[in-house]
Amino acid sequence: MDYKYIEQLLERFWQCETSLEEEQILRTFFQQKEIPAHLLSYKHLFVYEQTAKEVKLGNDFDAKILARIEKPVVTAHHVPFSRHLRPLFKAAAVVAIILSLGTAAQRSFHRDIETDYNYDTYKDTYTDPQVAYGEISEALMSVSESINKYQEQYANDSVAVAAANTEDNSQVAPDSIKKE
Amino acid sequence: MKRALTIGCTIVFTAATAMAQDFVSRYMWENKHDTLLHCVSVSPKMMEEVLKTDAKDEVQEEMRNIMMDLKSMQIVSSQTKGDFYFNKAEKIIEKNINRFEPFISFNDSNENCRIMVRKKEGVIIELVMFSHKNDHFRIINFTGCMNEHFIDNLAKTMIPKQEDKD
Repeated sequence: MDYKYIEQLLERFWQCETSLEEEQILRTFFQQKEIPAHLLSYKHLFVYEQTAKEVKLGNDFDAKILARIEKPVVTAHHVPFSRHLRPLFKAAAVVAIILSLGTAAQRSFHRDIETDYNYDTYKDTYTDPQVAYGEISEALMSVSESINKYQEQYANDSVAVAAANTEDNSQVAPDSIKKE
Repeated sequence: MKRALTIGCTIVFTAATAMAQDFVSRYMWENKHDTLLHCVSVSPKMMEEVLKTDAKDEVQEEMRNIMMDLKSMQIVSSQTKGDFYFNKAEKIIEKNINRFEPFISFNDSNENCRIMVRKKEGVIIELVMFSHKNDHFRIINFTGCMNEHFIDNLAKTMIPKQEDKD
C-alpha cells in the first residue's frame, strides 16, 4: 500500500500548511487499526486529540469541589497531659536554678564563719533544755579537764627534761605526751 | 520534661551533698549497726533553748558564755571495747587528715585522749575529743565558732571533776 499521500500530508502538517480537511484526513487515518510501522510513532498525537476530547468532568465534580471549599477542615490533635505541664516544669527548673545560683552567690559574698554542717540529721535526745544543759556542761568539763591535764603533764615533763638535761647533759624526750 | 526534672533533681542533690557531716555523724554512719554505741545529740535548736535558760550562779553564767560559741553537740559512748572504738575513731581521722588538725593528745597509764579541731578561716568550727579510759570510750563533738579565747575560757573556768583529778 502506498502511503506517500499520508507522508506528504504529515510533511505539510509539520510545516503548518495543512488545511482543516487535510488534518481530519490524518486523524481518520491514524484511527485505523493497521498502521505501518514507520508511521506508528505519530499515532498517539492524532489519537490523543480524539481521546482528550472524550474526557469530561464527572457528575459529582461540582459537589466535591463545593464540599472542599465550604467545609473547614478540622483535625483533632491529641495533646498528652504531660505536655500541658511542660511549661510548669520549665518554670520550676528555672526558679530552682535561680535560687541555687542566688544562694551560692549570697554565700560567696557574705562569707561569715558559718558551719556548713547538715543539722537536719540531728535528733535531739533531750526535750528538756535543763537536762541538755547538764549534759553539755559535763561534756565541756571533760574537754576542759583534758586540756588542763595535757597542760599539766606537758609542764611536768618539760621540767623533768630540763632537769635531766642539766644533770646528764643529755636530752630525754617525754614519751607520755605528744605535743601537737 | 525529663530534662527539667533531671536538672531539678541534680540541683537538689548537689545542694544536699554540699552539706558536710560532722565527725560523730560520720562515725555513727560507719558503725550504724553497732548496738553498743550510744549517741546523744543536742541540735542547734535545742542549744538555743539551753541558752535561754536562766543562770543560777556565776559558774553557770560563765558556762553559758562559753556555750554561746557552740552550735551543736553530739556524744558517742560505749562502756566496753574502748580500745577498739578508739582505733576506729583514729582511722576516720587518718582518712580525713586534711579536714582535722590535731590540737592536743596525751596518754597515760589508764587514759588515751585526743582532741582534734577543724578550722575555717582561723576559727575552730568543730572540736572533737575522743578518749579511751578503763575500756570505756567516748567521743565529744562540738560544732560552732570557737576561737582561742573560747579555748582559754574553757581551760580556765571549767572546774575539773574532783574524782578524776585524784
